[in-house]
Amino acid sequence: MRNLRDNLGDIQGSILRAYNMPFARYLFYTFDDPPAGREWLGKLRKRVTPATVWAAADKPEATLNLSLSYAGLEALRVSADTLASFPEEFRAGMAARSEVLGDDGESGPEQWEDAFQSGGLHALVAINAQTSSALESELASLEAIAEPFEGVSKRYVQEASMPATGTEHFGFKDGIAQPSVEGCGMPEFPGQGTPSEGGKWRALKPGEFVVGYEGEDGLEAPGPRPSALGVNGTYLVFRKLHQRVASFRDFLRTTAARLWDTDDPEKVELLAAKLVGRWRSGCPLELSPDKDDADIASNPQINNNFRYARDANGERCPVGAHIRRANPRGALDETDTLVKRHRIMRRGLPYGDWLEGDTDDGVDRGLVFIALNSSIERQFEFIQEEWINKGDTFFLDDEKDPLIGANDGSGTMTLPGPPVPFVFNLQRFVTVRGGEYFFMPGIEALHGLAQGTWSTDS
Amino acid sequence: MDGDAASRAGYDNITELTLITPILAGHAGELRQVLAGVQISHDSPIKKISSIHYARWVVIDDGARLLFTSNFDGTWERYLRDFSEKIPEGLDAIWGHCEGWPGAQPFEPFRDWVREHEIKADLFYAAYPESTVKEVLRALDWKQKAERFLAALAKPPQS
Repeated sequence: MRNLRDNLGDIQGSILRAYNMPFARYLFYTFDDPPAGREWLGKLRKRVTPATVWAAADKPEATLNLSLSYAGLEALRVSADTLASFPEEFRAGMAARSEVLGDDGESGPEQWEDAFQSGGLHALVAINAQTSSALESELASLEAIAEPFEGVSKRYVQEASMPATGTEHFGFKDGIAQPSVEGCGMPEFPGQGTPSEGGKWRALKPGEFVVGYEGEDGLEAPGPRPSALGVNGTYLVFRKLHQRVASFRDFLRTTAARLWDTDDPEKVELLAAKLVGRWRSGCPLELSPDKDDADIASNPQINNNFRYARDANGERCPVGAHIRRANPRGALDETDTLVKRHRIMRRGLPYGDWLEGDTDDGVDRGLVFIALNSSIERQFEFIQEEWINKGDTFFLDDEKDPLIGANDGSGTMTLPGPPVPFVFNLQRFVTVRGGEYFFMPGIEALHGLAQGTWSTDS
Repeated sequence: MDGDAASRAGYDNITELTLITPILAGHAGELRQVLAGVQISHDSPIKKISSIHYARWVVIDDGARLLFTSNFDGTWERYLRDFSEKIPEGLDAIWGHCEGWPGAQPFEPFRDWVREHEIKADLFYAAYPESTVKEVLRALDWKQKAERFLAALAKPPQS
């Protein structure tokens, strides 16, 4: 089977590496005319950042990555046979998958921002940058070659940047656990792969994240036909997640007071950590259940090296804590789901200004959530449906994820420790403002799309 | 899958599946032997799929066809993927005696084959449609522990 290392130059960079850049802009375009769309694609392709390994000194100031929605492929007049060979969930688009995703009530597609409701977002250009000036200069280069462009219109722009706290808006360091991938040339740290013998970890097979490579089932990750369109590509999940920060902070204080009958701020922090599974620093509860530990948090050799194996009842990290649900590591035995088949790369960044004080100021703030995986249905959607919004896998009946679950104000969480070991009245702290599924082709496949290789009208 | 689920008889959380597949000419005897040879124990391969309430395989029509029925928690697609990923050898050993069997892996052709041979129920009844296999097993475990506890309490103190 294909060797990942030989093909890094053809794989888009954000699939295999976290750029760790604090500024981003996400630009969404509509193709009004197929030949114009292809020409535009051909110009942008040359600026796409590949997964080629760079030395620290050579790290680019800014990166650009490009993906296409199903509607976008249709708008480029890709042939019916080829369109039909894409997976069902990608063809349907995110709005149509709301039942699977738990996107109802305030998160329902009918509540989304207009641009995401219309289904007309064809291309997503993601620019990441180390500084705001690097971001502006990358945008200027983009405009010089492809904007404005007759027949292609810009429909929506989302800014994102890391707050000065270095955390997401609830105040937690995010993006710590990312899967390691065999042969991608990136350093590996304990806890990123899948548990193996003797307390060790093994990097995941590349097919979990890139089409055309061996996956954890030993088979080649399937893609669209003809295979040249799919190889070196993957699927990208974009979600704009609004965070109700004031409600979350208020909930922590009220609930900590009820659980321990005190207004001690340390108990508020303990509760916050119990909901998430990590302290705000990123230090995992599993390794330090009673207090935050900055040394553990900052050490990549340690901060992911745990597997819940000796904590079946969740006395250290609750079974229903956010990070334990989203990645159960070694907590499930083989009678349950195969964890290694349900992992995602996360490449998000917060948006909106930091909330000073505890009163809601009406400002829209949250997270641009981006997941990359070779099967949206088996990876992102599975996690969302089975692990985030259900409790059965974990013997938690109807409980949902306390942080991002579709709770309706009456949600509960089993939390061993306090005299009454339950959290009540969980609400929806995170609501969806919009989102879409995209296909992120390999760079050669982008060239093919630009040439109309798989289109019917050229 | 959504439309698929919506058109199904019954409930949100429990799903039924009925499959009738033609047996390869001359294979009925061997298939019966395979099925007779399966011992259901605590470490049987099928136990790896924790969502199954019931499953049965019946050779019907004088060995012409195989009937499979099952009730399980969750959605149709998830259930089939579990089968394909966790016990492909077991599936191949049984349905390998049927016509057109594509193999349990990769998943997509297997799923399409099942769709092709599936018969949707016109009526489906479940006595406890809200309770998953895990919930039932846990409730039984609690009941047994509670009874033991009560029995221990009820014993007269030993002198």
